[in-house]
Amino acid sequence: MKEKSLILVLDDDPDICIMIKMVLDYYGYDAMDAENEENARKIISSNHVDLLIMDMLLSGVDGTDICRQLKHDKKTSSIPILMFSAHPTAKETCLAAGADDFISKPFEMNDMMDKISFFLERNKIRQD
Amino acid sequence: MVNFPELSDQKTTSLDFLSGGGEMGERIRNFDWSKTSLGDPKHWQNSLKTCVRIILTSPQPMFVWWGKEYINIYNNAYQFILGEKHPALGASGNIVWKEIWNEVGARADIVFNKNEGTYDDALLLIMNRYGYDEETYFKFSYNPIPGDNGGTAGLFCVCTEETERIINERYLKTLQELDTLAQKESEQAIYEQAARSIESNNKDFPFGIIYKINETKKIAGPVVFIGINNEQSVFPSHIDLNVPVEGTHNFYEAYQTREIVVSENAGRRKKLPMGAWQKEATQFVHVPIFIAGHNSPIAILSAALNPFRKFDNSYRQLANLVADRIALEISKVISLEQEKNARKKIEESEKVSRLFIEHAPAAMAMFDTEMRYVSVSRKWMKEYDLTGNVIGKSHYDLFPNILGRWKQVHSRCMKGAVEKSDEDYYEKDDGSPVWLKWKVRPWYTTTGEIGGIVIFTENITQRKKAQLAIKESEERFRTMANEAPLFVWETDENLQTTFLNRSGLDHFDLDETIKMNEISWKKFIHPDDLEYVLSVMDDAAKKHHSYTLEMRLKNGRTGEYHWFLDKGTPRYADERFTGFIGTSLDINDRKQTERELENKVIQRTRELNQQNIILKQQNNLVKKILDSSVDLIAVYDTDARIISINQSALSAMKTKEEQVMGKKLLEVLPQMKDTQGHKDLLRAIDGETIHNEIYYSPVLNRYYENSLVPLKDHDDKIYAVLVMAHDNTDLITSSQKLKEAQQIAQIGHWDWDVSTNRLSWSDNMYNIYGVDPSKSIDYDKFISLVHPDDRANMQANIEFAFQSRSYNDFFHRIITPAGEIKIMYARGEVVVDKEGNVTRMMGTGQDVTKQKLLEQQLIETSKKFEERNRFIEKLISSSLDLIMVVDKDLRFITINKKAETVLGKVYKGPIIGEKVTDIDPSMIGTQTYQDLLDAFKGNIIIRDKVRSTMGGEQYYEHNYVPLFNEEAEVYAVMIISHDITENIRQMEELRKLSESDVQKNNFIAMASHELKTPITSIKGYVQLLLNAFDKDKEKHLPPLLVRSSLISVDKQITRLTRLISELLDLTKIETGTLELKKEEFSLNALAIETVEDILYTNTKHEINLFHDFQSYVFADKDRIGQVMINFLTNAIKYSPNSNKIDVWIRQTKNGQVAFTVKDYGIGIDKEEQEKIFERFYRAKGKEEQTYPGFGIGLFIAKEFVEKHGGQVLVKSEKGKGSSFTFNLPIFK
Repeated sequence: MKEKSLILVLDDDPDICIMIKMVLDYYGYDAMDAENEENARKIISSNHVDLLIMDMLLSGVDGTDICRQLKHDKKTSSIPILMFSAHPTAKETCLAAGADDFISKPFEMNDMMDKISFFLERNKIRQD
Repeated sequence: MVNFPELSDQKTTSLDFLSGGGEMGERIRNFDWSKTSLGDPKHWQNSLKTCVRIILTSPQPMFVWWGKEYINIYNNAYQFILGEKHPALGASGNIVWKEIWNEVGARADIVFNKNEGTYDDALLLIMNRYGYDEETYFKFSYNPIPGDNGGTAGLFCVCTEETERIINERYLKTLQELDTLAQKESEQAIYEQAARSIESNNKDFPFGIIYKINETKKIAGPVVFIGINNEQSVFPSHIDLNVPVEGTHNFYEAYQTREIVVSENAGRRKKLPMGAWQKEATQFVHVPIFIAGHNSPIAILSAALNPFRKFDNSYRQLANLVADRIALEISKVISLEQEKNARKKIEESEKVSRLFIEHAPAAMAMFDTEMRYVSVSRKWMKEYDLTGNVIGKSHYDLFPNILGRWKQVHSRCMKGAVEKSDEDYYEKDDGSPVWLKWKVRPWYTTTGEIGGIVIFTENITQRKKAQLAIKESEERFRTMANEAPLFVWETDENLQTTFLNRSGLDHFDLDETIKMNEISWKKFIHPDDLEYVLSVMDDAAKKHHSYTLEMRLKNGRTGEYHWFLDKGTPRYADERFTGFIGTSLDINDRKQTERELENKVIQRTRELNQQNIILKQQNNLVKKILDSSVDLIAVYDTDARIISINQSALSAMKTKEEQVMGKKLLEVLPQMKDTQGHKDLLRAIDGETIHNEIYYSPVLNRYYENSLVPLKDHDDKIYAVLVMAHDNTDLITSSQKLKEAQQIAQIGHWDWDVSTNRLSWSDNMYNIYGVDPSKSIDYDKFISLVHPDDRANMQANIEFAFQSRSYNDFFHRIITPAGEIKIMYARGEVVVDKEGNVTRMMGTGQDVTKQKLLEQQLIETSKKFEERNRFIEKLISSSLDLIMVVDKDLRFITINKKAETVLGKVYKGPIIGEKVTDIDPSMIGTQTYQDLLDAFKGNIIIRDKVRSTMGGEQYYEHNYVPLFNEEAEVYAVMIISHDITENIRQMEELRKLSESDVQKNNFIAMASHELKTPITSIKGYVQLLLNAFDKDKEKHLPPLLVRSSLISVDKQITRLTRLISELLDLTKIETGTLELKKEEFSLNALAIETVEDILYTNTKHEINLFHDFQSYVFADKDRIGQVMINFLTNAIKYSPNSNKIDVWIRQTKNGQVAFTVKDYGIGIDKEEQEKIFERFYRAKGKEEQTYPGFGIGLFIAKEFVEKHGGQVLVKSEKGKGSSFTFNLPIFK
């Protein structure tokens, strides 16, 4: 097994990407970011992504569509997806699309980190 | 018996040789020898005396046979040989031993005749000493006794009985024979050898069979035959051991008792093998053969017994010894075999265990007593990092640091202990933690000694770690679950709750200490939902997929039901369903909103439906109008199918609407084929307008006046034919009858001679009056026949005729003698003489009864028409629709009340007679006007949703119906206008409502996103800094981290501020509270300032500012600056692949100043250019990203500029860039 878990951050807002990456970096995770679906898919196909954190609202596409597609694809369905959004009713939409969990914007850092570590721990257990 | 005293007397004197000798001495002395050929012993020959003396003094059995009679004299020792033959003193030897005389007599002959002695070492003699024939053996010698006179006078025998010795020797020999069994290695071989051994003693066992017992089958069968072959059926070949039968009782007894059983043949079995004898056995013996550890015999030896022996103890012992010997050997073989098997097994298992160990998936190793590896599994090698060949090496040498307690375990197990541990912890040399599960046990060599130990270990570190992790995650899950606002729950496979988080417990008002299995969650589900929920869960569990459903759950405290979004995922262990894990989220508010919206829609729909019903009702009214028409009206399509028909037509055809609708005319009335009516219809379909003044329908037998009018659509194409028919049958038949009546008019002549008062009638008159012509008629009689009511009139008319000399025609009624009332038309002439006196009157009387009646009928029919017409008019006037009839000059002929009211709003004064275009001049050239003109061409036109400005904005559905005159020309058009304003208004309202809802929702979603995104960023950085600070309190924070965080935060705050001010501006614009703080300033200076600001934060783009014109403006400087920023930031945003932006300030042709920003970016579509100034519009598309912002920047900019009296313009070409310009008035 590799040393560090790789987390992919997908958000069309570069500010959010940079921020989350910085936080993840601080907590010792490897993080990559993508500003659109195409880049995200490239990263997923060429790296072992342990967790995907993504915004529900993306340019041009609906984040829940991406989530649904990833969850339906056998190759990617095991990647936990943590979605976030500021939309007041986004939670149900995201969970219904197959997201493993949801955090609403603005999120509490500890909340997010808890969820991240939960998923990564769960990955390990599953792998074992 | 003998007389002893006598004998003793003799003895004392001359019979010394007879002294002693015990009982036999006594008997010899007392025997009366005189009765024998020997005579008095005193006179016996000396040799005899000597011999007798010898026998009497010898303990050795001896006898003397004297003389040719073999007189028998024997000693004490010999009496035992004689057995029951004793006493046989003085008897002849050949009589005493008659059964063996064959043998011994021959020998005696030799002695007597040849004077030689005989000697036999162990002669078999079958004696009968004890009442049976007995096998005996003797060692004896016969010696001649010389008589005193020479020759052989007697026989002297010294003998020893060897029976016991011989038989014992034989027994011994048999047993010795059985020693050979020891060489045999199989059961069968032993039995066979035993058979041969026993066969060798065919005296004691003339024949026999060894039966082997099959205990499981409870059956015995021969295993070997002794002295007999298997073809001889002496004994049964198979013996059922469950129950004895005839002939097996003894065998069965032996089997049961495990004792020897002897049985008599008793003649049952014949022709038995006799073995060594010439006689069949009389007894059989069944000897059980049993070995230790078995409850029943393993075999039974059934054998014939020696016919010349009693089955005495020694014989019995022999049998037992034989059986024991066989049993011993058999048991030896069995145990040998067992041992062999055991050894083989041990060897095999050793081999297997070695192999097993080597290849075992577990870490295993086998050690000898010195802890040297005997065998080791690959896994062990891997687990303990061993390489190469370790067999033979000491474990302790390989692991010098091995734990002491483990060494102790090893040594205990070397002594036979078995020890294990399910979880043992130690740290490897490199310090990494290892959890082990192990078991140590000794292993045994084939000799049963401990050969060493086997160690089994399983590294459970991963599992342990996983367990810890699971435990930890479980705890974390529970903590999270408990914190979650939604219910988190788990169930077992029976859907029994196993976990419910705090929110759930709170909702159901359950104590946290409640046991999960006591929660019957089903009772919290709304009863109407329960079945559904269970079926969904069941389905999900079966199909291995998650489910999402909505259901109502009861609040434990209030008892209210709330809607919940329930999600569950089934879980499985080894494909077995183990329960669900899921969440339930209170969505009551959402559901409530949904329901309200739904209700709203339902309400609207209902209202609309009502409107539609009204509309329908009103349409029905038109139909009613048509229906109430007495005329027959039907509309046919071009296939001559009836597509519309009114009641009159239906009743004329005596049918119902549903039976004719959609059917062809000939299908309904086949008899119309080739009639004029059908032909007319086909002609009309071809485009001809037909009018028949009188059309007779032979089918209906009615007269009609009818019109057939083709109906054309806007393309002048015929789509239907309108057939209208007015039933004239009554009229036509009435007038025809009148004619007929006139033709056959009943007219009579009368002549009245006034002077004579004689009245004469023609025959017709008599006929009409129903009076017998043979009877004379006079004036009085005539008057009496006149209807009493008309008599006065009659007389007045006659009076008048007298005075005026003229006769007026008049009608009167008569009553015939038969009582029939008739109406008469009377005409006459007055005849005057020269003096002017009336002399006679003559005239005609005509029966006009029928004619009058017809006339009456006609009047009544027309009255009915009138009534009906009045009804229709009433209907028309009371209609809610506007009904107007317009003539060819477009003047109103008639209008109903509703129309009057509506038109009255725009036109004062009477409407009837006025031209349509006078009342509404604006209608010329409109669709309405055109439709009206088209209707005059004979087309029925229906026009939906016509907007009318007459009396406020109204929407109508106009129906134009051409009215035809008799010449089939359109003389007027009826317009029926139905007011649909309310429908349209409500539909519009509903549309707007949903549109604004959508817009509002979109805006909320966007605003949330846009506002929360910078907040998220800020929060992220701040919390990161806080965390970093908490963690490294003592240390300095990495300055790079702090700086980049703060820069980002600053940027986000700027973004947030801009968004908020945009929102504020929007609010102001929307509420109309935007105020401008106008001042005089230089647009050029503001432009420079703004561009500098932009360049401060944006380093990518180069901005060229061209001041073609210097201008001052009087405006709100901040707002104009905002517009400039908006233009510039847009230019930057939408030109990500270019780095140049040009800005101009120029003068426009109409004397204003223009500020233009040109970029070389993505550009805007023509279609989109109109939309970009709309509120909330944002560039969208596949290529472009959606850019952050509310999408109200340009909207605000435009509002600002327009508020200043300026304009905003855009020029753009897709892919080449855009230029935005605003113009402002120049301040001079």
